[in-house]
Amino acid sequence: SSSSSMAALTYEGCNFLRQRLVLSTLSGKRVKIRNIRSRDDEPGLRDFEASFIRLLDKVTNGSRIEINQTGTALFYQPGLLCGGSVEHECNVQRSIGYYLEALIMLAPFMKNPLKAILKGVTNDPIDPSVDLLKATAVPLMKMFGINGEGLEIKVVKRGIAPRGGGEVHFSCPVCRALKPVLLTDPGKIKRIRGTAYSVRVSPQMANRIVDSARSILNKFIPDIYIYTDHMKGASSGKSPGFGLTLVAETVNGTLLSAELASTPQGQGDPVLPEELGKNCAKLLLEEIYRGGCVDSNNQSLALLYMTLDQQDVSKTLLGPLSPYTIEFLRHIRDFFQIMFKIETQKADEDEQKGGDKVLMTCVGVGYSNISKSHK
Amino acid sequence: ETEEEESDEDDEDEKEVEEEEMEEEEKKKKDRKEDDDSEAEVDEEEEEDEDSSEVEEQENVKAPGKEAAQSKMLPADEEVKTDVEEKTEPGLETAGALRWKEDLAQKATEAYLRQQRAAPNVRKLVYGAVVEEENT
Repeated sequence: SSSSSMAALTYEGCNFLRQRLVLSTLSGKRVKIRNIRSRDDEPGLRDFEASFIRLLDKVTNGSRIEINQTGTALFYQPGLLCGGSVEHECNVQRSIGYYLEALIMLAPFMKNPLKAILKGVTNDPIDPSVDLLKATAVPLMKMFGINGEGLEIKVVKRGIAPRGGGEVHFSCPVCRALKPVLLTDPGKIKRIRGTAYSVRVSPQMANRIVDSARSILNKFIPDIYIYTDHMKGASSGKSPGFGLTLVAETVNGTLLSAELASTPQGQGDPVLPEELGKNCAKLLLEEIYRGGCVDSNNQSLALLYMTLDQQDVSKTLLGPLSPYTIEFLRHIRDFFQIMFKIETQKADEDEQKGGDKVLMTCVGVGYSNISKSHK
Repeated sequence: ETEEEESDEDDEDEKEVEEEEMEEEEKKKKDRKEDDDSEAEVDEEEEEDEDSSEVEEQENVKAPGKEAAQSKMLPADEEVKTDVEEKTEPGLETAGALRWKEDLAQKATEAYLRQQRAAPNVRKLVYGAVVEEENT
């Protein structure tokens, strides 16, 4: 293993850049990525990737980043995670969720509690929105023992794609070691909560979304509450738009989520709020069918925390693994030499518990935050 | 298991053509004595009939070694043979030869669901064949 820590891990292509850089930072292993869009008309790293690398540079100390002239090759030698107060202008090609997901993975292992101010797009149709991460990722972090007053995601200003103008505050306490988890029984759905947001359009849009989403969900469960969030003036960002985030909570505290955002201005056919509400409700039903104890957006986060747990067994029941998660598992093997035990659990049609599930089991590497002193 | 399902599906059809089959049985017995090549014909038939070949494949996966020995004894094999008979028999061509076309959509659905239910080794899909070697 000493030789593997000396030589850099080498990858090809632009995919999974975030995974690779995050895992490199956590494991301390250097990483080399070649042929980044080398055959593309516009070769090399995109602006949002460069922006992500700059953010990574801000939260670490002593990182070495080398990028070649055309941007098609990248070498990254991770420094120490120092954390502290960070402010970052996130490139608007991707939403803040893209950057925040990575920060959530890194934050508990910083030397100082992280206080990040991220500016840019809060909601777009591609990445998990800030609202979704706030509703699902934060409770998941708490399950792993990342606790305290400091853990919070706050949407100060909303900024819709394409021009953004939003602002999000993320703070996270440091954690000496993560707690192993045993998440094997999601239980039945208890209630559904949601947020319908609208900015720079009629406030009525949010109400129309709520009505249409309810028209589908009311058939299944009575306990539904969807908040409407209409931000005005300075906190409404630069572009008009609306969207919906839905979260189903089970009796055992599992959160399953779905979301949809309106088409960004000037990027295709506009979507009606009624249509959006209904489709989002259906997406939530799909997510509930997939099920598991962690929703598909946060599969990789849960698996990462399991990997970095104390040297104890962690078990988590997941729905069907997403392609992103499968690649993440391969990368975890590369960086941490951890392979999960993956057992398929057949869906019992009589019990009506949705699709097939997979039970993920692993023994953590016993990653402890050396920066945090004993008390 | 799959063979039972098969026979269940065919049950209704068989009642309808029960009489015909009685005749076939007798003829077949005669044929068998005369014709030793019927086994070869069965193989050809399996390739033609998608549904039955599907079943055969799955059985192969479950019990690759025993399959050959079992197929000679099991009643399902006889059914396949009757199908062969129906095709070769000029008089019954219209009644029996097109039977495989019945409920094609349903059969396809069932085959699809059966395949979906046959669980793949997810660990192998994720990590590749390396896992097997490391485990042993």
